[in-house]
Amino acid sequence: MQHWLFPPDSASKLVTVLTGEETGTPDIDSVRAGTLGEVGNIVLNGVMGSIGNILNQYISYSLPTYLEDSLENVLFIYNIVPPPNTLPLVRIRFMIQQLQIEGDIILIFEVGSFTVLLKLIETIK
Amino acid sequence: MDKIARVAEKFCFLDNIPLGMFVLEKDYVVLFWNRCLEEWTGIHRNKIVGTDITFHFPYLGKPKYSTRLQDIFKGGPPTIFSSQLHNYVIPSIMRNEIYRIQHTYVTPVQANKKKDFYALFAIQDVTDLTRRINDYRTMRDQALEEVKGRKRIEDELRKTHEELELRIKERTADLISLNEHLQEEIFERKRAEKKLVATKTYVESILANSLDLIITIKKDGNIVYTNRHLDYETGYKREDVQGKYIMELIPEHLKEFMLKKLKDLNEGISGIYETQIIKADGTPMDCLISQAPVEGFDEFIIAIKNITERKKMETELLKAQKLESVGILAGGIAHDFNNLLTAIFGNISLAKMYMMEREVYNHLVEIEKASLRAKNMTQQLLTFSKGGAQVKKITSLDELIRDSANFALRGSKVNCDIFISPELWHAEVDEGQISQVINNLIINAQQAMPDGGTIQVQADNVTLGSDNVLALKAGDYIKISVKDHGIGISEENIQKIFDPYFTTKPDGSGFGLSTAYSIVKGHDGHIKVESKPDIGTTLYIYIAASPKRFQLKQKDPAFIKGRGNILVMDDEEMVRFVTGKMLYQLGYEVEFVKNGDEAIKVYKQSKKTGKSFDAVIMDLTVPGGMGGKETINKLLKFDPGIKAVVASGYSNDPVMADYKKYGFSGVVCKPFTLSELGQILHKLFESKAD
Repeated sequence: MQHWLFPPDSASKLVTVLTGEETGTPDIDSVRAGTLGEVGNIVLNGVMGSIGNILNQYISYSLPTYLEDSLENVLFIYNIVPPPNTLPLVRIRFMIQQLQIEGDIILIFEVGSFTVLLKLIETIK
Repeated sequence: MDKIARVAEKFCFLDNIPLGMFVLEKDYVVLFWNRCLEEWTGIHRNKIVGTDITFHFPYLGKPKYSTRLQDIFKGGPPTIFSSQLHNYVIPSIMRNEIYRIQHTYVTPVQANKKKDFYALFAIQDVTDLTRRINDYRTMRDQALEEVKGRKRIEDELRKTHEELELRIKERTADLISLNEHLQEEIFERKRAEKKLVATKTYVESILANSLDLIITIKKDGNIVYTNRHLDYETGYKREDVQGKYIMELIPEHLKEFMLKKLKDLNEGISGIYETQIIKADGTPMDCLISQAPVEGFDEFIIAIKNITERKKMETELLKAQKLESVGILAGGIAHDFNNLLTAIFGNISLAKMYMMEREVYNHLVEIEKASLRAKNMTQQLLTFSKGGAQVKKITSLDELIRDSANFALRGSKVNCDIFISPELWHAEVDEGQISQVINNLIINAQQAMPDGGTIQVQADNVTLGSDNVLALKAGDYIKISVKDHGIGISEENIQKIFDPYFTTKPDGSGFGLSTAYSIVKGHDGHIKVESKPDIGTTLYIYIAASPKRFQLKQKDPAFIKGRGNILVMDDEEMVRFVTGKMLYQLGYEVEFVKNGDEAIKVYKQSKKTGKSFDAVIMDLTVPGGMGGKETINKLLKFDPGIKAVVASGYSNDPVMADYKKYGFSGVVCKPFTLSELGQILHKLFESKAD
């Protein structure tokens, strides 16, 4: 499971930069959520594609969905991943200094998946 | 069945989905084109299926799409072409000539058992959603702008409000300060007004209660204000004179004078002067006027003091001064006249001794009687002069009244009925003065009846209580009344009859009743008058009765001779001469001196030589030299046992009335007869012998 997390201001700024629209309110409506979904799709495809290439494996994953809430709610209240079976693996913090945009990419694995991943990595060695 | 037909069969269900959907082969050949896209693009599937899509939509061959579609054809993860970044993937113009906005998902679909994948495009029409969102955004942005604007306006309003608040505060502070200032001013003004009212009340109170009449006039002389005293003083009502020309109150003969004073006022000149104003009853009122301009007003204040009484008093004082002068003159004349009478009496007494011829003797007796009357006249003069104390003694008024009345009416055609109470009390009086009172009243009554008539004289005992209307002390009194039936006295004159110089008779002196009044008052008595014109007048006299018994007069003895050495001091040579002759006839030896200094010198010398004097007869008054009063003082120091007799024409001098107090042993009034002189010396030596 991969999550791309933005503070609202950074998400809004990112959309504004990409679309060239005038700076307005930081609200994320469904149109802008769609834009963020495309951006997330590109980024995740890049990340997951890279991992798949390294592992020489096909990795199947779904289209990103947009959720707007606190991190805690996003992870636990929406039951994206049942807590007992999750294991945070990677947290990548990125910053686009010129645009003052920052965010996190978090990879969450189920316990079984993580074991498979470790084995695959071992195979590469 | 070819590939296109298989794909069409496989994805035919997509015709019923309200999304634009098509399938691409990895060489960009369209394998499926659903009914929705036919409607959107107007391109029938027969036209596009089997053709390269870039032939229809060349931009899809660009890397922006091709790079991402490459992964799809390899079975990679799905791809999103969002509406905001791409607007649309397949252009579709709607009826309103705008492009349909599209949100597109591209998903790999396995083509066969090989690892070939088709790309399934699912295009969602988000035109309406986008429009709504844009509308919403516009609306929201407008709202936000409005909010911002409103906030800005609110900020400006707040700022303005704050500025206003500040200005209001400043203005309020100014107003408070101004208000405080105004309050202070109001307070000060109220205090000043209060003070002004108090001052006005104070001034009005002073004006109202002033004993002077105070008026204010305008420049033209019209009266503006008068105080309450006006009515009391003049009888005018205030409303009668306010607005009146002041000259209307001035007597004709003073108008020119007052006009000049009014002119002075208009020139700012104050002044004090005497004038008259006409009262409401038309009579003039003497007044003292003080006039001055009223500062700050075009008015003048005139204070008028009623000096009618003062003027009357001044007139009376002038009269009194005249009277006093006349009194002094009368006293002097009486004194000198008494000296002359002393010589006349003495000489007559001596002549009578030597004259044996009866006819001549009788003439001498008549001369002596006339001289006695002259003596009484000098007594009246002395009483009139009021220069001395009364010589009072217990007297029977019965005899005194009868003698005085008869003496006054001697030769008159007016009769006199005298009614004296048989048990009439005695009184301690100066016989001469009371005799003069009776005499004056009888003469007045006689003059009131020029055609003759009867005067009724009555004397009774009366006892007055403490509440008597005569203002006399409670006690026993002798009431004497003298009643005539003459012309009477008018009501106007009745209050003036006791005033000095007041007389209704052409040849009257105005002294008679005033002298009587003076004498009766001097005896703590009372005199009053009742009169009705053409009916008559009654005068009443009240003299306090004395509980002391009256001693009957002893008849004059014959010449009482004696022996002794007498020193006579008198400034008048003729008195010294006749006194010496009289003493010689009485058997005494005599030496003479002119004044006190000589008397002291001679008396002391006589003591040294052993031929001392048995008695000294001294004149009380020595013009330009030491008189008897001073001389006896000095002689008493030298010889405390000295016997001295005081002699004077001033029979009412205090020394004569109370001679013992001054150191004398006896008194003799000039003129004296040989008999009186003999009695005095006899009495003197009798007491010496005792």
